[in-house]
Amino acid sequence: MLIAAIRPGDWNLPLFFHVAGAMALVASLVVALYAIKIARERGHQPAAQFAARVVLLGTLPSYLVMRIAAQIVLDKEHLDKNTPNWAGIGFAVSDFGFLLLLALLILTGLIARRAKKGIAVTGATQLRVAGVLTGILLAAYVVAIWAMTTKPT
Amino acid sequence: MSLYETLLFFHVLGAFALVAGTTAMAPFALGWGSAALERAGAARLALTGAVLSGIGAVLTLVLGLWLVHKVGYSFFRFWILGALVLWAVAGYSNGQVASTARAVGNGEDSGRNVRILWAVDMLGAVLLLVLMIWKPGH
Repeated sequence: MLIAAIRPGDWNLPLFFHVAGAMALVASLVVALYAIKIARERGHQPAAQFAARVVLLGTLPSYLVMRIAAQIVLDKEHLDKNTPNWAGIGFAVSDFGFLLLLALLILTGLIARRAKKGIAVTGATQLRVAGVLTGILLAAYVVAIWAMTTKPT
Repeated sequence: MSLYETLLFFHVLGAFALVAGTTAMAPFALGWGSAALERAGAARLALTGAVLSGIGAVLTLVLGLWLVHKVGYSFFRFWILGALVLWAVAGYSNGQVASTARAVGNGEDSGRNVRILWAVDMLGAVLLLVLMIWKPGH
């Protein structure tokens, strides 16, 4: 990726963690979405538990890395006081996205517990909602990528 | 959006697709969640990942070179040449993992261990990101 060439060197490490965290976030959501789909369509209980583990151990830590690194970059750029539009879009997506992520975490956790008890998960509403939430999150992150790369004013 | 911004957006989106696709191959290559996704299911996810990373690879390469030309950088800089080498290595590894997944999908499981190939693929993607951010030799 050709990220802005002129940039103080000490921004590079937090920027790397910001982008890498964002990539891992999106990647883990793609895997979670597949596991949710398998669990919902086939009632495959281990897949429901796998989805919950991916969200808990993959998506959530990735989000934290992305968000903390974003704040460090913003502080270094002194944009925390006078936030430009593109950063505002990023904040809105990440902060609202965090609420959706928490909801996803709870839903997949509940369905995983249900699966562990041996209760059927085929067509479960919780899985359907979890799938929709994951789709919304992925779409929102595409908007965030657009804002970060084009920096609309 | 200017042409530069459009190219940059799809270039970065391609990089995200590349990493997402490679990650989707992890359950197959590393055996993650093997209780959850039986080998054929993991192979199907890996093939979806291969498509995703293939699209990402094309977007990053074509649009990346277009951006280099548009911005007026020399193609013979360490970080650009290094990125091309890493892209090729990661692409080869990705293709090998994908062909193994395809064979499993067709019921021809040779039991080939693709852990190292997947690790090379992911390491290549991470090093590509390092080159794009630090731009050594710029």
